[in-house]
Amino acid sequence: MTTQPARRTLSGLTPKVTKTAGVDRLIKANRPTTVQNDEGLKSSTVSEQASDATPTESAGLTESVRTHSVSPAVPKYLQLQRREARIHVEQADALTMLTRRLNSERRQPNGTTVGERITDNTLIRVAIDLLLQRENEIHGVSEEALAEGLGLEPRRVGR
Amino acid sequence: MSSGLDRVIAIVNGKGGVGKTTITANIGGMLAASGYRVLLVDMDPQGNLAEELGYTDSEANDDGMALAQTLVFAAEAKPARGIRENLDVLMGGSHLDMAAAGLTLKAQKDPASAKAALAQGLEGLAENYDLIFIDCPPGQETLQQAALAAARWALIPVKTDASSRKGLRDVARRLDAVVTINPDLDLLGIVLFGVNRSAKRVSESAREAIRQDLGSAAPIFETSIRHAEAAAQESRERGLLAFELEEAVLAAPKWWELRRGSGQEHDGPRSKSAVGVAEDFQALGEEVVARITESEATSIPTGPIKAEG
Repeated sequence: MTTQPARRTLSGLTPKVTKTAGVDRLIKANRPTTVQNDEGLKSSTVSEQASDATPTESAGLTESVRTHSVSPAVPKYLQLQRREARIHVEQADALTMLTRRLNSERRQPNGTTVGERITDNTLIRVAIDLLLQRENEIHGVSEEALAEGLGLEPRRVGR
Repeated sequence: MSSGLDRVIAIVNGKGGVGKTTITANIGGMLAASGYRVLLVDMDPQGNLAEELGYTDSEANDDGMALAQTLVFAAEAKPARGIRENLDVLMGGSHLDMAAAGLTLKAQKDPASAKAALAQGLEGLAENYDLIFIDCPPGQETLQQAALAAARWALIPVKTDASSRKGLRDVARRLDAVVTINPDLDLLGIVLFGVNRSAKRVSESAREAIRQDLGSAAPIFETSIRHAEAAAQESRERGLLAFELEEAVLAAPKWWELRRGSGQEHDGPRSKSAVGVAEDFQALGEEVVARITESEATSIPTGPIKAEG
């Protein structure tokens, strides 16, 4: 009798590759580099367009946000993932007041504005990065405990 | 891209049978009927645009001879005029097989010149038209390259199956070959063609797969063109565009009129689904115009595209 090879443990299939790599270059804005045409003339380039980004964009928040925010063709909000969150009423009010102040500071004496429009969501993204910077300090079994652990006054909801 | 060719749209996909010719004919024909001056360029050696527009047996059909001479010998492009009101056609056909061979030879000596062959041919014509649509062949690399080198926009039809989406890869490769001489070429949009209206999940999956390939900002047209076999067949048999077939169907006597004897016997079109297909093309045409207008508004201050009359 011949010896059968040991059966392998079943562990699922190799994930299917669904993405067709490189096709995104069909969209002009996704082409990364300067193109030199046959006559030696430089075309309009992504790098040139990127230099048109607002000061806030180029001096941006985090590496990941900055990298994605300079694409000239795709609006920033379309490059970000939508994620809803419930927040306290007073947090929402305070955020609104803060965005108003920051947006008024963007106004120049000559009436023009600099930078990009600051929204509640802008501040929430910055706050997330600030939180994640201190992730090693975060411990706790409830929202209150987490806040206290970071030296914040805990909020009491429904008590 | 050469000057004056900023309203040239190549209908392209590396795969056959995804609706390139049908879309070219119907969008072009519909826009022409709306008053735009439209030129269609049939770059396909099969010359199927002739069936869509019903000029297969007409004397004007030169089987691609004039276009082949323009491509290979830089002869002046001479479109057949008045295929419909406001609609001219540079006809395709078997002569384009020879043109492809000629362009391949030309490319060995001067690649850029071979790629720019159609662009140069269209330069003298472009000012006569509001929009130019190029029906690209699925194969024939040199012809596809020449088409993409002449176009400002690529419009890519796909079916919901994965294999027609793979045709996007072929288009991307062709793009690589021409982007040096035509850096402005951009994707106008992707349109789902031959969609079964009841298979919403299939349709949405196809859209999602395209977004995976192209990113969340993939310009997929809201409109998809429905699958309507009878209407498609009758369209080609009669050489009528979807909206023309729709008009004929609506004008035909109703079944109760025939039964009552009040209507005359007729052998006219009967495909009721032509109505829906015509609506789809109308909506797609509106999206095409809107996207080009939007792009022009942010680049050159030429104002919106307006039809004459």
